[in-house]
This record gives sequence, C-alpha cells and structure tokens, in this order.
Amino acid sequence: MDFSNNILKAMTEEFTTIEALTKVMKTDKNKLLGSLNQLLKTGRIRLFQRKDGQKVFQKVSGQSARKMQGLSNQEAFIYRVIKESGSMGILQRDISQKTGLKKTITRKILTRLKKRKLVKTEKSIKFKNQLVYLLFEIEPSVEVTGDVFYIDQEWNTEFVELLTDSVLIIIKDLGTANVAQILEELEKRKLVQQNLTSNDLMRVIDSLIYMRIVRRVYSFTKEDVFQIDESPSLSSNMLKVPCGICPKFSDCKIKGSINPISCPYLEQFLDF
Amino acid sequence: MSYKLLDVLCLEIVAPFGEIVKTVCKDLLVYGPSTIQQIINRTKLNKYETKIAVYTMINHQFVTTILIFEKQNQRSVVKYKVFRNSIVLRLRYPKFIWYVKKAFDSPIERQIVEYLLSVGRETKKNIISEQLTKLENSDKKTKKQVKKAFEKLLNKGFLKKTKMNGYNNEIITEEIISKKNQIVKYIEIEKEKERNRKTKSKKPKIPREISKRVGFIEIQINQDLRKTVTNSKNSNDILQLLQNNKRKKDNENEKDKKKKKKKKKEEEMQSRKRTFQSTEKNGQTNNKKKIYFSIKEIEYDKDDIEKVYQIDLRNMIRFRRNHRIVKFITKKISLQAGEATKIILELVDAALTFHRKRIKKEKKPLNTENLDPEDRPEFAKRFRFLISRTLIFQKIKEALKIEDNSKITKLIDTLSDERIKMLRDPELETILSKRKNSKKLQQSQILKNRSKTVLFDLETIINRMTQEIISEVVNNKLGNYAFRIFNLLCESKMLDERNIGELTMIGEKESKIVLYQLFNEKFVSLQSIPKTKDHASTKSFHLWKVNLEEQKKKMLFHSYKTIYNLFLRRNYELKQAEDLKSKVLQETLSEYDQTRLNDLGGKKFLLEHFLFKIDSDIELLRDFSLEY
Repeated sequence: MDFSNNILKAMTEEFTTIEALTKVMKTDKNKLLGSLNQLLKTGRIRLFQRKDGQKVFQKVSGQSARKMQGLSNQEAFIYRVIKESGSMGILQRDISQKTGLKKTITRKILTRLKKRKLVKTEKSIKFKNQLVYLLFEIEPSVEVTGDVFYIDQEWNTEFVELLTDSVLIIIKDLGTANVAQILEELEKRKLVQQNLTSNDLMRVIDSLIYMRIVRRVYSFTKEDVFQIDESPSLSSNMLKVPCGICPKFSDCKIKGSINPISCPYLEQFLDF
Repeated sequence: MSYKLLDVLCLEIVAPFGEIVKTVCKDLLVYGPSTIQQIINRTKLNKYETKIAVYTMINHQFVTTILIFEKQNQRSVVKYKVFRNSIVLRLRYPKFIWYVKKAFDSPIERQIVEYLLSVGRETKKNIISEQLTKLENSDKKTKKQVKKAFEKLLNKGFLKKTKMNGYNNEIITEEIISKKNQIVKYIEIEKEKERNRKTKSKKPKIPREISKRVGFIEIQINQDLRKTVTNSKNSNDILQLLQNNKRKKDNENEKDKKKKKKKKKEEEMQSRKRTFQSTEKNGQTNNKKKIYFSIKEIEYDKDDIEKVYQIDLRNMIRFRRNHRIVKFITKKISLQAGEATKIILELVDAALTFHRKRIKKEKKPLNTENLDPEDRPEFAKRFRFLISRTLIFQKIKEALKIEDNSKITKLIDTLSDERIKMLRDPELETILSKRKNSKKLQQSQILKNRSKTVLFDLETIINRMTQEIISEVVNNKLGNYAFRIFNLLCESKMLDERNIGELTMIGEKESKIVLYQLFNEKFVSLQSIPKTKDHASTKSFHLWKVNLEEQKKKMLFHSYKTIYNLFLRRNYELKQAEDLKSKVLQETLSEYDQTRLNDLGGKKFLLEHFLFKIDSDIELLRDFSLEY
C-alpha cells in the first residue's frame, strides 16, 4: 500500500509513462507493473494509449474512485461520455451512437447510474419531449434550462410583458436613459424580483426598437442612450385602398367572379 | 407576376391620346422595337397616321429611336422602342407641378411646366405666347417676367433642349422628301382652303411658315397664275412647267421682249422678297398673261429649327427623390440634419452630371447597349461617391451659419448612424469590426483613424424607407409579432426559429406560427440545411431570411395591379354617368338615379386621388433615375 501510495505521489504530471516512474522511484519495471495493475483494479489510475503507441497513466482522485467502484467497463465508458459533455448534457441516442452499444443496453445502464446518483436527467429547450443526461454534481447550462425568461424550460410570457411595460415606463419618466440607469430604477421600484444582467435588458430594449417604440442614440465615445421614438413612420398608401389588404387579391381578374367592378370592398370604400 | 400587367396599365394611361396611338403603342409593347413599315404591316394603318402616333409618343418621351446595323442587308435601320416606365411616370406629373410651385414664388413657372407636360415639346416663342394669352397681358413687363421665368427653369435643370422630329402641328412633312411632292402637297392644301372659303374676295396667301420649315425652296408665283393653278385639274401639267422653267411668250416683237427681260431681271435682283406681279401693257390687255417662275435657295436658320424645349424628367425625378429623403431625415432626426442632407445631395448631383458628361466625351460607338438605358444595370450599382469631409464641413458652415465646429461634427456623425448609414467611413468600420470587445473608442483614437473622405451610399436610405413601407403592410395584415420579426430579419441575415423567438421576446412556439404565416404570404424565405443524408425535416436546420429586392418587386406589381383596378372602376363609373346623362336629356330620371348622379362625381375624384397617391410608393420601390 505504501509503495502504491508512493507511486501516486510520484505521479505529479497529468500523464506519466512507465519509464518516467522507474526513474523517479528507482525500482524495477516488474515491481512497478504489479502495483500499477492493483491500482488499475481499484480505479486509482487510468490507462491511455497515445497515437505513437506509447502507454500513459493518469491519476484519479479518491472520491471519484469510490464512485466508480463496482462499475463495469460499459458503465464506466458511458459515465465518461456523459462527463465529457459537461454542462450541456447529452441525449440517449447520442450516447448509444458514441459508445456503439444498443439502445436497450444503454437504457438499462443509465437507469443503474441514476439509482447510484451518478447521473441525472434534465429537460432542455433545444430538444422537446426528450431528456438530457448530466452528471449529478454539475449544474446545467443556460442553453439547457433557459434564461431568466424561461420557467420549467418554457417561455414565460407574463414576465416578459411585465418587464417590457416597466422598461417603457422608466424610459418615459427619465426621458433618456442608459442601460445602467434603467437597471437601477428597476431595483429601486422593485418591479422585478429576478436578477437581471445588462445583456438581458438589452434584449428587451432591442425588442422595443424592432417595434419602433424606442429609439437608440448612437455615439462612438459614450454609451448608447435610449429615447422614445415619437417620429412618424412612413406609411404606404396601399393600406388606404381596399386592394392593398384584400385577401382575395390574387384571384381578382377582369373576367372572373372576383373583379374590381363588382367588388363589395370597393363599393363600401366609395360609399362615403 | 409578369410584364403583361404593365402593358395593360400602359395602354390605359395612353388611352386619352386616341385609338391610333393606342394601337401603335400596343403593337410596340407586344412585338418590341420595330420600324414604321413593320408597324404598318401589322396594324394596317395609314403611313401618315402611324408617323403622327410615333411622333406624339416621342414628344411625350414614351418612345426613342434606336440605330441597328443589319449584317444581312448591310445597312443601318431606325427602330422605335417604348419605355414602360416613362408611361407610368405620367401619374407623377401633378407632383412635379407641386414641386415647382413650392420651389418658385411666382405662378408663371408652374404654368410653363403644366403646358409643357401637356404638350410634350414646344418652341420658345409658342411657350411665351401661350403664357401671355393666359395672363391676358402682352406688355413688355409681363414678357420680361415670362422670359426670366423660362431662363430660371432652364438654368436649374427643369427644362432641356431637344431637336425637332420633322413633325409640324399644321402640315405633315417627311424627313426625306422630293421637291415634286412638296409642291404638289402645297397645291393640294390650297385647293382645300379655297373650297372652304366662303368669300371670293379673300386672296389666297402663302403661309410663310412653310418656307421656313422647308428651308430650301421659295416659290414666286404670279397672282394670275394662281387662278389657273387652282382651276386646273391636272397637276402634271404644272409640274412640267416647273421642271422646265418655261415661260409663255407674248405676241410682241423680239426687241421689246429683250428690253423687258433685262428690266425684269434687274427688278428681281433688287427685290428678293416674294412679289406677285402682273404684266400688263399700257392700255393693252392680253388674254395670255405672263407667268413667271423661279426657284431659289434660301438660307434658313438652323437655330430656329432646333430650338425646341422639353421637360427634363430625369432631373425632376431626382429633385423629387431628394425632397423625400430630406423630409424623411427631418422627421427622424431634426431640421438641421435635413438641411445638411440637402447640401450633401447637391454635391452628389454635381458629381453625377460631371460623370455623365465624361461618358459622352468618350464617344463610344453606336450600339444598342449604349442607347438603351433600361439595359444598363452597371450604372445603377455604381451609385456611390466619395466626398471630402472638409468640403461638407465648409458648405454646412456657410449655409447654416454655425460657428461651433463641434456641432457640425455631431451633425455629420448623426448622418453616419447605424440606423441611416448615409455617410460611411469604411476605415473606421474595419477598425471597429476587428475589435473583439465592445468597448468604446476614445476621441483621440477616432481622430487618428478617421479618413478624409466619406462614402455616400444612397441605396441604404432608399432601402430603409422601403423597409418601413413594407413593414407597415406586414403589421396591418399579420400583427405586431410579424412586424417585429420582419424588422429583425431585415437587419440581420439568416436566423433560426429559436433565436428569432429570443431576440424578439416572443418565444419559440409563437414565432414558429408567425413565421409560417409570413411564409405563406411570401414575405419570408426559408433555407433548410440537413444534418443527415436522409434530409429529414426534424433533423435539419431551418434558417429564415428576408430578401428586400424580391419584396420590392412584389410590392411594385401589387401597386400596378391596384392602379389598374382603379382605372377599370373609374371607366365603369364614367359609363354610368354617361348613361344617366342621356336619361336626363330624355327626362326619364328617377330620384334614385339622381342621387347616383350626384355621387358619381365624388367617386371619380376619390379614385383619381388614390391613383396619384399610390404612385408615391412606386417612387421609392423603383427609382427611375438610376435607370435613365
């Protein structure tokens, strides 16, 4: 045990070779190999092979070794695949594709890992009606759960409408305002409970700009400032005539049943 | 969507010129550029009628001539081509008149423009005389005023000089015509005049204008001969006399004849005016009287023939377009910004004229490509000019009388906003794009990296204005969510459904529904990128985008069709009015019919009012100045 602990202490780098260990430990290769095999069984080290063909060992912590204790090779392989996905998570079909195992086998393995609390599932915004697998310790990312504007991975329309109305009121009261000023006012008036960032607020303001309600005043040196857009927009004169909005415009012909001479919309338009 | 709709619209606009013009225009629209003989063969009209129709259309700038070299026959041929856009421009004439009214204080300029738009092209004298008759004053003061107004319009570019076609309002003349035919026509015309005259005491007069227009020939005819000429039935006898220049001899002696010949020659040399002499002896009268013929060449003034004036439609479109841009910027930003844009647009127009003169000086060979402006898209794309920043600065300072230099720089910076982008600094843009962080630059850095020239981009403003028009239509048809999505996609390139829902704060579910509604109405286009080889829809990316040029075309044809529908309805209402008026004469009107008659006037006014209004959308959707 001491010898194996010494080996673990000697593995300072991430990946070490047998030759480097022999140099450090100043022992024979055969002794090392025996202890290394024991460490592999317990799961304290892992074995990799480089493209050259050279074999390399990696150290594993005690906690993770205890977790992985009792797992089969397939289970460990799937665990590693889920670990590589990180906070983004991975679908079941992708796991079976990467590992090369059948769906039924992967399903069984995943249930076992769930029971042992090594893995958990989460709903994602991207993949509807499908669950994503993550490690138990890791928190899912924003791309999986959603922003502040999502609840239970669904769009929170009420919150969004409330936010937009409150931002409008603040801009009206202040006249011209920065992003920081708007955030301060939101905190003062306690209109919103969630913690908003500047990026979240910019998205709300951009939506108001697309609605042509708010206007952005640009500057190269200072921050951009926002005002209410009172300038009238260009209106097309086609809207003042019934033909511009008519749903049957494409069917309108001179010798057809729908024609401009017998059109009821035009008659209503001309009866002033 | 096809050009048939445009052709039908053009025929409706050309209808008030008459049925002959309408048939010729229809033939040219269907078969394309063709010679006069080809038109005659198809339409089976008279030669002179077709020429009149073609010349009227040339006067109103609907048709132009094209020189084509035929390799088979190895000769050059003149063909006539119709411009559909110039016919549709006729709907914009009242706006040109309104612009002239605002540009000038006195109403004389407006009246001149109105007259020329109705007639097409006219000489300077006739224009001035018409205005004097309208004003009911022929004093020297009013003449000076009218002449000044005319020169103002010329100098500012509202009018331009052109050449005559060989077409006269009074008499028909051909370009290549023999002397015989010319004289025969002259004789035939005078026959008709004498038949229509009631009183015989009135002497026939030779219209002097003929000699001027013809330019080459002047005839001196004896007064007594005119009676023989008019009474004679055969014109061939007269021609023989004119060809040979024969004289009928008297019964006098030869000596006396020679003396008289000399005297007559001397008299002719002294007086070069047209005289009507009758040779009579002292106290003697002869049945056979002398007839004297002479054919002379008279110098004609080229300037008198070529001084014809016409409205420069290209410049009028440009003035109107600049007016709209200035109005747009004043509403969006401020008055000062609008005035600054005026100054910049004047600089750009000066650069444009210089560019066009340079093309003319190069003297390229005669090809259809150079003569046909509709087939020159390269010029339209090259509508970007570099202007020096110091020049703009100086001109704004002089015009607006601003002393603070910082205010002027702010004005220029507002015009280079991301929203408008009328003035662009490409060097600064490259620096900002390379910066990873979105931090702002210090003022010293801007002054270092700012370039001396500024790029003027007019297409972006026009695209911005069209985007607003089209987005309003989307808002009315499909609602606020579609309005947001359309504005987003116009500014960005291609986006996924989820990204669209997040950026517009709508949500993915509702954004999908709205996107498919927009797709049905053809406001939005879709591109699917498959992930697998099966091209399965569930396993592929769906990217949405808006193509502004396609939307412009769609709106254009939509507007053309609405105008055509309004034309049809107007013609229907006019027919009903005529039927009701016939009832009034027959005294068979009922109360219901009387109310209808009273309402028809208002209906006609409404329809014509909106005909001209819809043209304001066409003004932006198709900028004709880029195609001239």
